[in-house]
Amino acid sequence: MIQYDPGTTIIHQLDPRTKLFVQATVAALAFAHTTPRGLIVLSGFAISCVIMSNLSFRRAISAARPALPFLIAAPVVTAIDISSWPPEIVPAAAIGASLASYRVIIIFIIAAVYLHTTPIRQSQAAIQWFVPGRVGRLLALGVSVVFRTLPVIRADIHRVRSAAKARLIQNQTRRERVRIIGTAGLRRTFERADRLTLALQARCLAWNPTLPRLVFGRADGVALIFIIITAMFLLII
Amino acid sequence: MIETIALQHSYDETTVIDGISLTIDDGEWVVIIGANGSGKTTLVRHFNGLCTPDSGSVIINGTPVSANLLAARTAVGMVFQTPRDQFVAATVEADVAFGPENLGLSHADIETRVSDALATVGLSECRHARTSELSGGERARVAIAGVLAMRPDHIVLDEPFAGLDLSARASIQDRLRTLAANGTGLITVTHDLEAVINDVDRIIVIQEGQIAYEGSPTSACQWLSTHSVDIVSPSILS
Repeated sequence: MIQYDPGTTIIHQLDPRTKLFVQATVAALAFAHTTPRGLIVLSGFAISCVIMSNLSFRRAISAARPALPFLIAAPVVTAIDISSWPPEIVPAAAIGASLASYRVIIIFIIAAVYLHTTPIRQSQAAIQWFVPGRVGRLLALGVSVVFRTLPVIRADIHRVRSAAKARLIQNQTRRERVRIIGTAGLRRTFERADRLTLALQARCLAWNPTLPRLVFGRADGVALIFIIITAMFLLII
Repeated sequence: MIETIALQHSYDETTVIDGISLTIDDGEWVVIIGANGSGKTTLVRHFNGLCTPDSGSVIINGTPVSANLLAARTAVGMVFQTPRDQFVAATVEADVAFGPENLGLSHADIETRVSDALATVGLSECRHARTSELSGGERARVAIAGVLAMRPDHIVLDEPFAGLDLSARASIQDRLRTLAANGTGLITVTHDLEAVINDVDRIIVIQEGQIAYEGSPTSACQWLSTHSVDIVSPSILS
């Protein structure tokens, strides 16, 4: 799972608000310009972000892994024409769905770059800036708790699987394997959530903590100008 | 000062704390020992309001914990048995800063506290490291730093030596001695009495949710040697 990795790259140094704005713009452009040309431009942008943030391509693409079965299935299902019998494969019908699936991968990659370069507290500060008041605080706290919890739960489930493998779970039937790891993983998840709650309580988790200062620098200006030019270019072509 | 009055706590039908009354002074180093399941961890969790008593009360610096939870948690820091359970951020710096941020301190104060806490545990150079990449001993020290940064009057350490090798254990011992010398009250829950016996002011023995004995290390060892309590190594008693 993609987590924040401390670093000194230019993307690490960008203001989280800039990164969120860029992410939202890329998502909007990917949906508005789901054309080969538009997606080539956005792919170039996504690849540049991955390189500049010092994130490996393997990890960036792994961010989309949970959605990959659906993204692959969508064009396949679209290509099957069931209006006649036997059903026919119509490759041309899959083009639109393939482009739609591909744009989602680009959005996942950009999100992976954000997660890799932005500490949770900065995200919390950015969300509170975008959504002022109690709603913003609640939203920011929720995001912060989710992003603190998910990696540890995932690591716990990984440990459950390793422990089961070490005790030859592969000799069990598939159904039994799913049952054992599923129930153990669920139990561990609840235990972990309890322990994390305790740790957050012990360390005085607050609604209004001191959040990092958000500083909009020259690099943020350049990034915003660049994304605006990219958007205008895509609108023109 | 930490004070408990007739503290009672049960899990379902099982009574784990059975009317404990005790006082721990500021700057005092107390070690709590007892068999597994004797109620040690539950007792210390009451000190900073992580457990709610069935009856009785816990008073921190003159204020009941139930009346001001934040004050209790600021005055009594808790270092958990497994440091990994305590980490809530990806990097050492962010994790140590988490407590002071929640106290709403200024950025300058937070920076000072994080630097001081990391210097105290000897981990200034690991400031930007990922918590997942630390060794067991370093994790234990970061967990202590996370609590130190809140500048508590007392620190509760639940099994601070569990799972550590000899050098990591010695390093934690040194840090605890430094803290005690600086006037921080320490409450150590441990099975490893040997690691702290020469440094502590008082030993409290818990049996079946009650204080079976409390006194100086010398008198506690005498008591332990004359009672059939299999919770410490015979080599310490001799």
